[in-house]
Amino acid sequence: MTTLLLERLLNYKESANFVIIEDTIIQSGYVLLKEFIKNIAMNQNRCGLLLCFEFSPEWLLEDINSNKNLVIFDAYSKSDSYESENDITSDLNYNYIKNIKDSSEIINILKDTIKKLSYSNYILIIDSISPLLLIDTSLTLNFLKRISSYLTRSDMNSNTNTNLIITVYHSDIPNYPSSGISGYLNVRNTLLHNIASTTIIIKNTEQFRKESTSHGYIVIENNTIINACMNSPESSICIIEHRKKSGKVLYETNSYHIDESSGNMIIQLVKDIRDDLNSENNTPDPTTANLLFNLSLTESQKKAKNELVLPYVKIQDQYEEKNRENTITSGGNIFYEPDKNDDFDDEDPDEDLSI
Amino acid sequence: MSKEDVRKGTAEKEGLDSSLSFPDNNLPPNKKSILITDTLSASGNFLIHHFIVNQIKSDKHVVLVGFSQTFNHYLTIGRKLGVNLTLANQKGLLSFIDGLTSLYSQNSQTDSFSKINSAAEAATTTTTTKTKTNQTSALTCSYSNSLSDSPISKESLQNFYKIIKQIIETRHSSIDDSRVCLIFDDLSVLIYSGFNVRDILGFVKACRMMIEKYNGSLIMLVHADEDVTQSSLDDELGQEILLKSLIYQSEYLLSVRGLGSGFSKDVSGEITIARGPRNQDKWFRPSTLHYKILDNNVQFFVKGFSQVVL
Repeated sequence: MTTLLLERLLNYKESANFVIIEDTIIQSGYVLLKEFIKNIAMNQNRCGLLLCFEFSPEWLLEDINSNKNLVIFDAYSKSDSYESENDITSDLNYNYIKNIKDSSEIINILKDTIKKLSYSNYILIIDSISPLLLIDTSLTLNFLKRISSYLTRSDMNSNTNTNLIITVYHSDIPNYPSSGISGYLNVRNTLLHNIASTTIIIKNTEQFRKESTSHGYIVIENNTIINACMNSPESSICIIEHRKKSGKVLYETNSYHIDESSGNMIIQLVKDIRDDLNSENNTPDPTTANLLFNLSLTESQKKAKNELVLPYVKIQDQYEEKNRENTITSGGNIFYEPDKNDDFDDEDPDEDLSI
Repeated sequence: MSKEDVRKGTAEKEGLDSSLSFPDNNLPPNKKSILITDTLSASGNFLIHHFIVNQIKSDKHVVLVGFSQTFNHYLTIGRKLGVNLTLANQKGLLSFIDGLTSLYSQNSQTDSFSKINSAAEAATTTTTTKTKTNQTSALTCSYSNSLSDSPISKESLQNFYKIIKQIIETRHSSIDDSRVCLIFDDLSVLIYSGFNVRDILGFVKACRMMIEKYNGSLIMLVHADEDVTQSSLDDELGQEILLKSLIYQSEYLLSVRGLGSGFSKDVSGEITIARGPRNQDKWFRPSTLHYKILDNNVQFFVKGFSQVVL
């Protein structure tokens, strides 16, 4: 039995460059992100660079016992200059980022830290790009592109580069239109999907079921963006699109939840409901089934039926052919036969005009 | 109200507490935040009073930042619910911060501090006339384009944050188990006043970090009308971004709405208790209840089980 795509991605067995976890308020992607962080420590040669914009590093690392292989870049605690800056002491494993608007500063801090470390594999985990998107969309994409090209360039490691960036994107927070562009930059469809090699869209089972059976038309009842099924830990589904380096694209839908007793993630394959609905259509043809007499055709009878030429068809074909020959040179001909009452003369009515 | 009514009232009031099922004496858990959303057809104010009353009755601390109501409003309703907020203030359990005057105050922090401590609002009104000349610059600048960074708007929020921090540090943090609850009523006023969404989110983040340091909890009220959640105009984008960003930051979501079928005399509205994106509690059970606001209390009941119907 082959392992599921989500499991392979979580265990870093599937080669990917850039993973985007797209979530909404209905089902958050943080359970998956925390699972990615937890699995970094499984390999000693792997180093996790945790860049926190939206949540505190303490919260992200709550259930993770050892953070030996993790280097934290805290762009959450000190980034808005609310507290006095006297007590900032960065060390190799914990760096503060004070100005998130300056993406060069963030990239330089990351580069300097990587130079001082000696791991063979780096995984940059960004807890959310929403605070950056709120500043400016093009700034965010510029930052992502630059960091992605730095981490995945070929001279980075001696063997094939397996560095990876994982980030969470909240697809339901709208973006301000960038200056100079009248519409909104469609961050999700045009831009992030182009950068990412793997997109994981998180849904709730309730939402997934409604979307599968409603054929695209979803009723929002009574202005409810908040409903009781939200963020249920047992009903997470993710739709994964994974683009391999070879050019092949894999699609898979998995469901996951954390087992209460063991703390491990359990992943299952989800079959699309639409497949089940289609299979219902493969029931035997009611016109030929359950009858006392035989209405079906044998192979030779079907062949004879197809070969039969019906009488009027021949004349129709001849007529069409004749017309095609006649009209092939001219664009369209008008055949006019004047009546007895028509005053048909060959004079040009516009003769007296001096055009 | 007869004895039976009072008993029924208290039994039903526990409907909300038993649905929330907070583990420690119905108080909001430490270091967590609750987001209350409401609409024009159903106000979420009663929830603010509910949490204030719960805290005061358990001898825990409350810092109430009022943007939309004066202290008198909370005092009057608190009296109806059986709690004397003036007394609580004197005992050091409650601090009320008049959000609007403090936000635009350009005075030194000690002046604002003395303003805030007194329960009477008269003191605040006399000092506002003095600060009016300084206020106009803050107000006009905050109408700038939301795309640009308005330094004055960020500065006012930073000053305001310092006021809140000072109050918490001096009055509410000396006791170990103060479980101080910082309540914002309501944050939509900041958006209406023209503050930049990013600055508001930075302010809320700073308050959350501070309250986590003191093992407290944070309760915020935001308006979530239909035009906010499905905004098509740029002006309403700010409200939608604020609402959704705050939802991502919260553990517990309490959404108050009117009934889908329209106005009813017997049911004031519907409240949904939902799990926020940050929430990983195993004991939490989401639910939806109906409620009716009466003179002296709020009745909660399971959908369809209103007294009138049964």
